[in-house]
Amino acid sequence: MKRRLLAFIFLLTLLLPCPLKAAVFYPQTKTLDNELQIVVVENHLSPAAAFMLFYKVGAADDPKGQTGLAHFLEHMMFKGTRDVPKGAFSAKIAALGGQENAYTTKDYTAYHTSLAAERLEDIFALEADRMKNLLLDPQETLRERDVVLNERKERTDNSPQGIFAEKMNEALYGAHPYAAPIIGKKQDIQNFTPQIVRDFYERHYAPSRAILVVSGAVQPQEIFALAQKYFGEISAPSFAAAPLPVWTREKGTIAVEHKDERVKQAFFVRRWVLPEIKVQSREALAFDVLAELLAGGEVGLAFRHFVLDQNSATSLSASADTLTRGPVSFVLSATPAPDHDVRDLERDVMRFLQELAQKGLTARTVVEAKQRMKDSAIFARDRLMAPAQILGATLAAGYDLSFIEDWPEHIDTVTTKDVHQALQTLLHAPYQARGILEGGA
Amino acid sequence: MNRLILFFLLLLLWPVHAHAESTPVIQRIKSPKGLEAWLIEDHKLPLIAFQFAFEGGVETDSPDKQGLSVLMASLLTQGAGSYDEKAFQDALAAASIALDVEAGRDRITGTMKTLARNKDEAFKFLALALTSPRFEQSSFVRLKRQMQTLRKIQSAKPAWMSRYTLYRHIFQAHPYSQRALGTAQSLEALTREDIKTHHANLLARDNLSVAVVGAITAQELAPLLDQIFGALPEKSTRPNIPPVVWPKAPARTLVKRQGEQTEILFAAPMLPRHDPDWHAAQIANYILGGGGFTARLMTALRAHQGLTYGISTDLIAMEKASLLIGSVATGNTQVRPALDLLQTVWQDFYKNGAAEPEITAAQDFLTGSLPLSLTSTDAMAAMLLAMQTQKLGMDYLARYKERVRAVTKDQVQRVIQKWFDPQQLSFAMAGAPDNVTFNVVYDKIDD
Ligand SMILES: [Zn+2]
Repeated sequence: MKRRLLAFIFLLTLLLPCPLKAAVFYPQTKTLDNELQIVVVENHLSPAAAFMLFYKVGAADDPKGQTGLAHFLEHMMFKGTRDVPKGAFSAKIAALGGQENAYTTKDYTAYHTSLAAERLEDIFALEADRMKNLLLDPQETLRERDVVLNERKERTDNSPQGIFAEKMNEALYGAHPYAAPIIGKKQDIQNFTPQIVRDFYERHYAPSRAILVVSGAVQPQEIFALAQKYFGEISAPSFAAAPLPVWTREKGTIAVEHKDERVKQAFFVRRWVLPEIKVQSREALAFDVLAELLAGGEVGLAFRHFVLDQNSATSLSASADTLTRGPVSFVLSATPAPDHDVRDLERDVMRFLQELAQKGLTARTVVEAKQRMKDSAIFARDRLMAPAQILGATLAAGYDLSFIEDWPEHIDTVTTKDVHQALQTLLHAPYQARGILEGGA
Repeated sequence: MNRLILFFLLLLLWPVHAHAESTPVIQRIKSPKGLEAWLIEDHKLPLIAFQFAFEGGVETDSPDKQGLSVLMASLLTQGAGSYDEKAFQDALAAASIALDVEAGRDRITGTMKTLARNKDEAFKFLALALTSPRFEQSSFVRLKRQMQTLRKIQSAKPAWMSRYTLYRHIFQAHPYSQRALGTAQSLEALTREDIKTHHANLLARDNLSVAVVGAITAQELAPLLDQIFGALPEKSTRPNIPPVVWPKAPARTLVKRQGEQTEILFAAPMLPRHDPDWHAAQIANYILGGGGFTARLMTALRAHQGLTYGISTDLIAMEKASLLIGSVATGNTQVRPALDLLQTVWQDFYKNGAAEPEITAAQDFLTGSLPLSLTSTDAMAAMLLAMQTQKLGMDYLARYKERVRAVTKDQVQRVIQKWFDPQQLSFAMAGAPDNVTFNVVYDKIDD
């Protein structure tokens, strides 16, 4: 229970999108003439549906000196259109018994509404309307800056973990756009004007840059028909997304040692960027298996060693981010047990990885880790919104649906040698950041 | 914006219900030994969600043994029968069985999720965990240390600081004011004997509720209940916990914390869950602060003034107390204007009540969102369990909609008059707010 909780808290502070443990959802898909792609996943467990609209634009697309713009636009999307004034969007959805919200990641922006399946049509109308008719009222824009600055305080400025996560991100990614905070830097947020937001909106929000995913108690043909009815007429100039810049960071491991009086419990984080690993490849998936093998459940090798056998850590977690537009990355973190030094623990964990690489991995531990991952695919179907989130994120990052549908098979093809190679790669990776957050001034 | 979602998820009995025909069929199962479970049989997915509760949780820890219930509950899954902690966790992982037992304020709750193909193993390990846990010395020491670490992490968070001090003011000497993870001293003093005694006292058949959803039939389930719980003692031994007596006067407390922002929590007494006016209170809460972006407080403080990223209120019904509770965070210099505006909005609500269209909108949401609380086998099982522990009746889901619709404007106004008086609000803050006075100021809180 504890370890999972700690891992969860840590993930929240990183502000990364959820790591994917995907599943086979049997989706049906169709693309309209205006290039809007529609994906439907049937799930008749309850008479509800999740409607998600993904725009293939995220924090990594924020222009220079305008960090946080994609996220800011996400906020403004709730501020009204000509026909649906400010506040009416939320009021309408509430009256339908629905719950709506949105989130921005480094790669995409997603809007979601969950509600009784029979009331779905109204959401099509509302989402199509704000895809093209956003008001972006000047006064509302200024007021929303204050809201976002407050959000930034809550997530980052007032939280040692939040500040630390930002520093780690900068150290790891250097000049790459993934280095910047998704919510944006304070001085950038303060400078947003209605015109800046409008330019960004008109450039990026169009059917050709969007993916509509519906999961729940629905029939695919009906969803396709509704999509045609409400989105079919929207035509907008279609810009291709600018590709992410090439990787230019200097080689080396950058250290972030952050002290904050408010911190009572120290922990360390090690992060790797792996630009040489081909995304969507077997060698990339090997990092997912490695994370599960090291820290999955309460049985991961490193978790076992440090939390159960050595009693020198109270938690240890690892995860890979392989479903991404930019480079693949890997993260490992651990919290020392009482009376144990965080630097000693960091040293011991790194030594453990080296010894593991020398000793080699047993086929059995790899097979077991892969089995747990494949089983997790079945559990993912027992959620209303998760299938839509996973498939939308996949397409938004530029992958095919088959990447998820064949995921269990792909995982199966990962060999013990691949996982061992992934571990070797980490140990010799040229782009790393190591960080310690601790108390004291 | 995720904070809001979280808030929705946290609402224990998030309103529910759209159509009578869509309410799942609930079966009441009796085992040969007389144990009861509520079941929704559904074979759409090859999964089973199994949840249970034993009445009596953290509230049963004596003041010098704070942390006992949480430690006991966590140890149940660290080795049982002939399986030591590693063998036990290995076996669960190999079959992808997720098993968690946790101690809440009023009860110990457990959740198990398994693939249908592994159900025999899953039920075997569940039975072992509950009836023959090993409580080994090594696991005992390890989890204690983990709890010490968790306490440190938790006690550095401003949201925890404000909640802890608010509860200390409201609950005073009542067990509800205790720390679930214990104090440094109480944790240190706990012995394995304490754990064994607590387990024997608390896990019994007379304080048990069971909820099951998924690919399993009534015929399969009935004998399993005896297999899992049959070896537990017939009767639990629990202290009698009195209802909370609220302090005479509300208070304002501050925990000093450096930073740019202040975390503010506020609460007032609320009517109990079984009160016939409960749904009227839900409606009033929805209009004032519970209704996300449509609520009056959110509209005033965020949408009109940009004073905060979020403000919301909620009803919390515990066994021995009910609370109207809310939270907001804002910059230190904005605390005063935020509090003033909150007071103005709240006072207006108290004085003039809710308008007819607002009440209708609240009813629309509360009734229309029923399907959203039943979207997974886990969510359904949690609902079935809550219906039992809170004694809502088997027809709760089927009748929810008509009950919410039956609430009248007079009823809502009466509830507002009685339970939404802004003078009753206590505030607990963590931060460095400008221009606010307090009854109690803590320089720090012991971790
Ligand atoms: Zn936001």
